[in-house]
Amino acid sequence: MRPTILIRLYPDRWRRRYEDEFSALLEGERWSAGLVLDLAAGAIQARLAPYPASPPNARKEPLMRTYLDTLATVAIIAVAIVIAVARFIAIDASSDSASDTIRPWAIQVAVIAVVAAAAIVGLRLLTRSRRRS
Amino acid sequence: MPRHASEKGQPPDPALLILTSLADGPKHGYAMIEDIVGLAGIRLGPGTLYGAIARLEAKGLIAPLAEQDRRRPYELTGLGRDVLGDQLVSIERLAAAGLRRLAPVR
Repeated sequence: MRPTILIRLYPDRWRRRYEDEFSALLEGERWSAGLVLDLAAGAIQARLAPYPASPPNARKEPLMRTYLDTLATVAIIAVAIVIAVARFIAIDASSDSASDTIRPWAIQVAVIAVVAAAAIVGLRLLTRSRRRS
Repeated sequence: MPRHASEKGQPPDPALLILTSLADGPKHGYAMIEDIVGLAGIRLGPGTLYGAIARLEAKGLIAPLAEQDRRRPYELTGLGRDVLGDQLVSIERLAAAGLRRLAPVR
């Protein structure tokens, strides 16, 4: 799976304008916590910014979906941070005992982030199936 | 090896780096990233790059050109050229003043 899948974190109006060229750029990238953080932060920024503007005839994104997408993006950022911290701790594990106190904290945050992301994706699927029915 | 922006303390404004990169002619995203590595030793992430591109385009400082093989080059607008010139002069003044003040201490 390529990192281009993360373009889905960006809002529709942004993807309409930049998806082609942005996915071409991402095809040369490899998965990393830094890349996930960079894209997730970019997606949040794109959701908060008023540009690029939607075309006048475009269907407006439902507010609930926008909230869920933003929450999912935040959860993905949390997971990426935890992965980065866990990797740092793994590298630093032999140096001192501080890692023993950090590791349980990192695992707890990872579990919470994964559960939150799963709950958000579940809610998103639920709202989508309700819209269809 | 280029350092990530966050490793240099206060990271330079990506918008200024992009404007500077486009000062000698149009470039697409990948070419900008490589050019900025050469200019400043910093590799902008794709999300950071396109966040800044969208902002600069909305402000009318850069403009998109026709897409070539799914890569879209951007160029400086007249306004972008003026804004970049003003910012660089301001930075030059600040750098000159700072270096003058540091000189006796060195």
